[in-house]
Amino acid sequence: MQSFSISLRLNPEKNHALDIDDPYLVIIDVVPTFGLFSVTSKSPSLIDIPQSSFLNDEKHSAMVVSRRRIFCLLLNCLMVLLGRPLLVSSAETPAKSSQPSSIVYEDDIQPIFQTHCVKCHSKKKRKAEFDLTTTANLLKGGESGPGLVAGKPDESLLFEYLHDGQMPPEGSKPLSQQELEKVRRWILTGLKFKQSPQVIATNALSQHDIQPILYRRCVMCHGPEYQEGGLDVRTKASMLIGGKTGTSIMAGKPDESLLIKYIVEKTCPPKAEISRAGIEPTTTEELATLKKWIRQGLPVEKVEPKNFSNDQDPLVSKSDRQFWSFQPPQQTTPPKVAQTELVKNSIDAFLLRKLETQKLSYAPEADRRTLIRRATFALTGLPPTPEEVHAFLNDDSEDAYETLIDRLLESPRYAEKWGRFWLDLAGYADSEGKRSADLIRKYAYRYRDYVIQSFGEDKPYDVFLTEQLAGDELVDYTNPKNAIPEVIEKLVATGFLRMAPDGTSANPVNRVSDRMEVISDELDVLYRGVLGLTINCARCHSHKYDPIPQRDYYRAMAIFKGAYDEYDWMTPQPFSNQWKRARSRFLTLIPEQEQQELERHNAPIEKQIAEVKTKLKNKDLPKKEKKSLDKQLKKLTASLKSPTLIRALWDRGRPSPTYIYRRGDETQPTRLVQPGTPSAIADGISPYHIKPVQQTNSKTGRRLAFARWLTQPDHPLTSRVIVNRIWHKHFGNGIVKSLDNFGALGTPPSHPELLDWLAVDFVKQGWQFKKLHRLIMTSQAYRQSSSITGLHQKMDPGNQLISRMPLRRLEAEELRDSLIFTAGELDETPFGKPVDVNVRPDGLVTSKRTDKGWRRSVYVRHRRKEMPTFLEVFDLPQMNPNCTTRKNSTVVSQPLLLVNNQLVYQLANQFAQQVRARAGNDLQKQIVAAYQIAFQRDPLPAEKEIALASLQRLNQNQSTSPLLASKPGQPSTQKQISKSPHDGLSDYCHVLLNSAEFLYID
Amino acid sequence: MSALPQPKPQIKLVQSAISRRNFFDRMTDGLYGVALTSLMSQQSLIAAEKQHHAARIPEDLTPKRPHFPPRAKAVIHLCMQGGPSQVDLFDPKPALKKFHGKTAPRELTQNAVFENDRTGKLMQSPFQFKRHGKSGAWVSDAMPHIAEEVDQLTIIRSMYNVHPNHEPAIYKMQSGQTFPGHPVFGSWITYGLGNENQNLPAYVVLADPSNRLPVNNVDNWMSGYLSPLYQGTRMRATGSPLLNLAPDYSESEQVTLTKQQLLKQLDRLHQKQRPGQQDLEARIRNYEMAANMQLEATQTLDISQETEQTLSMYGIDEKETDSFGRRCLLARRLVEQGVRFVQLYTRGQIWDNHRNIKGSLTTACQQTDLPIAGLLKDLRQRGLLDSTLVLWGGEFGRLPTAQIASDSKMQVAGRDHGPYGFSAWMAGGGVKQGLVYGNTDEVGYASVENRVSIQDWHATILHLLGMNHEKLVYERNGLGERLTHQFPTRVVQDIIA
Repeated sequence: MQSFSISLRLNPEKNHALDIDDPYLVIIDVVPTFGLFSVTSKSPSLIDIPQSSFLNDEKHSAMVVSRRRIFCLLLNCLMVLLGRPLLVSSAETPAKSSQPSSIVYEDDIQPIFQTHCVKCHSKKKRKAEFDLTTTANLLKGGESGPGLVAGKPDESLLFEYLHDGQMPPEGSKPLSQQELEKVRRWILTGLKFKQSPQVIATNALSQHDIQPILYRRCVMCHGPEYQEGGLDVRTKASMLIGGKTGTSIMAGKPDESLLIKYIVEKTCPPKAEISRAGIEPTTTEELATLKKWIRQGLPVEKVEPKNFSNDQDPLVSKSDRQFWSFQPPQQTTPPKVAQTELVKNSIDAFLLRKLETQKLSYAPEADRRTLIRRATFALTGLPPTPEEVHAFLNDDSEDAYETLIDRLLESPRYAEKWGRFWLDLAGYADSEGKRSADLIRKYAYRYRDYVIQSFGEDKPYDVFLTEQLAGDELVDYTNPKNAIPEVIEKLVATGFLRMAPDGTSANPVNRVSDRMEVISDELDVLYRGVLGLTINCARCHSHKYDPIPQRDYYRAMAIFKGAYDEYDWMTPQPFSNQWKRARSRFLTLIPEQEQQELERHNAPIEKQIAEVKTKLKNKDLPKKEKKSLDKQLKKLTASLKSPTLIRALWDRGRPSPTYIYRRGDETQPTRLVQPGTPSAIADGISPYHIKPVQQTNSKTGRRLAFARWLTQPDHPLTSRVIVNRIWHKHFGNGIVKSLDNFGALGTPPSHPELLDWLAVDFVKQGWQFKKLHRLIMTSQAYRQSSSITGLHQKMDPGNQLISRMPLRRLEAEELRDSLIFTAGELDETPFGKPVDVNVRPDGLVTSKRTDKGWRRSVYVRHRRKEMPTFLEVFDLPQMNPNCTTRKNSTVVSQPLLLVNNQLVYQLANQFAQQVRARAGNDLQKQIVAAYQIAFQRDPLPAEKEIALASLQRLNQNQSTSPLLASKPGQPSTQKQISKSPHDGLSDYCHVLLNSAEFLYID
Repeated sequence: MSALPQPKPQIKLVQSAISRRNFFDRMTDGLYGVALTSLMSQQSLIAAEKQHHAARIPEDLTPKRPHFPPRAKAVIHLCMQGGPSQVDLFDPKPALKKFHGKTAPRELTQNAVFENDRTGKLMQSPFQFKRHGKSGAWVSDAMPHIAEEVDQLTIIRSMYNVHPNHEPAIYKMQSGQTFPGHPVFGSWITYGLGNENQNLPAYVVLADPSNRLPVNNVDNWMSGYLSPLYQGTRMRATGSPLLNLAPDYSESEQVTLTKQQLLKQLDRLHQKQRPGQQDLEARIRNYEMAANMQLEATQTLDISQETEQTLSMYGIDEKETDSFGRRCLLARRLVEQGVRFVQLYTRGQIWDNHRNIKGSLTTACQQTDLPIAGLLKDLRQRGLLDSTLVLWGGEFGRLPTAQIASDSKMQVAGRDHGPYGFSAWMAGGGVKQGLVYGNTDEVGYASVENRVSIQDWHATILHLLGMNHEKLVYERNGLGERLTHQFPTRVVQDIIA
């Protein structure tokens, strides 16, 4: 015979001020008194609430719930009390009294689990740490905690998985409707068993039940940064010491403990601070848990960090770890091929081998003009000049092509082009995103400059990664002696981890859950971008396809906790109505010389300011004079120079403990985890090992350890993922097509040996990008023509075998920069503050012109809500959070823009002037010059003919026909129109800029 | 997680080499040319190869088959952002008379976010309510014209939103989340269904011509992580109807023609030397389509051929109603031309009646009441209402309490934001006619019976369009994103005819 205690309460999940979904949902808890079905980690407290009190509490809510439903609920309570079949009605499911009610586990449910689930959830396999073979373990649940909530299918994780079709996994037979309904009713009717399961009732609480509550509600003021009233609640010891008014907790005496008193009296958390600090009041359940823990005498449980890498790990097995991409890349030998004359380097051997098995070979080598155009665009993002092409065509030396590649790699334009590649991956933007205000990130550009500089100096990838992940742990920047560029650079590098869209610079959206979004985006960028793993799903549940258990997600979070702590948050931007204790993310660290210059500039101004201020103190000042002084003060203040700050991420040496959050919900913490790397990646490499960093301020060293782990030469993913990305950029196909996913759902590599060879070689050559480019671009594969034959189309339609080079559309920046370059209008000033944009009322966003022309697109401001229209139309994405593969669309807004946009029209005019400067007024010569500038070749006879006819007609039209009255919709940009008249040649040039040859490279 | 069922031949088309003829066949049956590349190359191949993940929806604007037979083909969303006051329009509360000037009973205001929301004094409506039409639904005298159309409507009185501020609440209404970055529901709809007309945008936004945009500005029609193809395209009745549609410079027609011809000749020559490159053909078509769009968009927005009677039905040329009336008429013309989703915005936040509810709500109604009634009539007369779903409503409603500046009187009081319960209506497109659904509490504070959340509303709209909200999925970074996210959601079957 079982007995039950019943409680009626408001839906606890929905009790928070801002979340008012279903606020009136009344829930009945049916809790067997042996504590078996403890609903969630925090609900056992319900049992403590005397019945009378909760009934009183609920009086009000009962009034707004329909009478029928309340009646129904009460009826159910009654039935429960009488030990009748449990018919519990949740708000969504009306009670069906006619249903046959006795569903018993052993008869009805066990066979279903046996058929569908036990294969993976057995005692031996224990997928997701869930074993269904004993009833005790069934009720205990898996790594996300108990999966069954008596009476509540909707809250039972197990049912949710079955219902959503998440389980059994795809490929297995799903449950039938009848089976699903049976499980639902079994849960709904209170989880009946023939034999009561043997469960050790764990009613005792530990510090892990109360710590998360204190972190959520109290630590903002009583924690690492502030100890209001001298109190720090982070540990039992510090709570016992208490604050100025004595100890805050007294074992066994909850009602006398100050901690409880303050909460009950609603002194804490202080009302005025609540929304500003991003916290919410302590809930009734939380209070009850705190009280219970104190009543139980403050029990503490010692948790040993688990070692996950042994073979007993139920979540990640040996065979999981043997998945190809989790094994270190193998040293492979280039195979022998028949067409040895085509082998320029090892890449060709691997590719040709596969082609030859298909009885295919490379496409013929492209002509030299095609090659120089292809290579110049690939490495600089701009076309070559006619002179460069001419020189290359006439270079008879054997290594003319190699020399060309070397020259291009040394160009500063290379760094701008390939820096952009990494900025895409990092999700670089000049604004915060997430909110409509989309505040501008004033100093984000320093990270952009860091990336471009790093590519320019060909910083090894392992160093590049380490600086971005743990620059702050590499250098002791707090020591003022270290304010030198080398140190500053390392701090700017950590901006990589500050790129995610971040809406936490406002009060209503600076809650813990909002912060979790930011952390989640950062982890996504890092793991997907650098490791080629999709781990986002593991925030709520273990990965469905890859051996990434939920705990791995939280272990990853713990790595970043020293800097990214949802309970110790730093505000991205100052904002109005901000919590007075909010802390900034900026570091001020400037070299001494710069500091002196600043002071030299500011000192006289500050003196003047002081003088004006003294004058203003005089209260009898005439109004007029006061006004003029105020004005003067404003002007002076504005002329003060302020130091350039660093948007950085730094460890503060005091991370909060990391718990796994059930379903990603921070109000449902389950197990404590330690920082760690994915358990599946362990073979053949050194484990993640933390060494605390001793600097002026001590640091956890967690991120530095992660960077070291990540950049081991034998790491199975780091080198493979990056060489694959670079390969993809050159050939339009990755060796692994799914660039972001090297897991089970990714595509297997088309040339596994080649991938490994490239990865190993890349590391051996010192992780240097320029060497990798040179290797790829000097292969015969890269020199192929892009023409398609019928055979190629048939045998290798997707060009997976690299049997030709792809014809490719220019990327957004390449197109815009080329148009400007062709018009002779490119301002090549590097680095610094981004170029501002104009936003026209109809939504057109354009960059501003400098006095030298137009700067390269990478230097234009990328504010998420004001993306430059030109770039956006050609697929530059809004970074949410990043972009690892540019789309390559052909949409109608593109021709509309290229034809109708004023900038392009105006550039055509300037292009025409370049033509005229070379060719004078001779039409024939003009045509040749135009082709040389735009395409670096002479026109074909047919093209010449067409051009001549059109030019004549255009020139004629210009002089005779009246202008259409199609004025632009908005006259505001009229002044941008170039002064020189638009003539037939300009129109002709406008067409060339619009032509396919301009947009596509062979 | 499965996406829309896709016609198999397309995938097949990908795998076999596409013959020229085949290619043109696809072109002429309305392929946009948009993202043709992706249709033919890697993307679709990946999709075809992938067994574990359901086939992706091709990212273009060709018409797509819905999951099941749809009730509506097009949507006109009358976005009444600001928060129209339910207790002054569609949800009469006689109890407010009783409690006038008194604080609301505490049990009704339990869940208010702000203390102020609880302490305000209840205020009776300054408007008179009457039953209308055969259905006898209550409408106040602020909306005399819509009242006449009440038998067409399903009025939902039990809507609720999750946030009391405009910004997050509007994001929620548009995208299901309270912050930007997620696609709005118009984007989801056009992603799922494409467009009937390939010469017009699939998702058209008609906002105030003087540029007083709603809160959140252009974020209201952003496609988030979906392709920009599904972004709302703002069209204007004057000037260039859409961004870059008309040249930003003056040019004679002859020059334009000569240039178009020259470009085509050059591109054909270029293409001829590069056989088998699908991108190039798509591109040439793309330029032709740009020209077609220029023509068709201009024609669609030209209302000079409409009769005097039609114009007056929409209140065009009347001072109060001209602006919104034109947008309503354009909405009809766009839907007539096969545009999937048309969204209308008012000038700024006219429904945000914090002060003087009597005066400011009257003004808001005067601007919109007649044009909207005209739109409903016109759609019905033309037989378009059956296949067009018309949506009316804001991001939330208003509190039944008075909001008064400390120095003024109750007569000039307004009402503050009320997300806890508010009214919205739907018409046409498979919804019941003359139905009032759901209820708020005694004073109209919160929704209590047959509550409809924003995601319920979204799911119901998708359902009427033949789509299952759980199956309209976009794979992103390993997650299956959908409009209703992971929120518990129900399709409100009770309002479907």
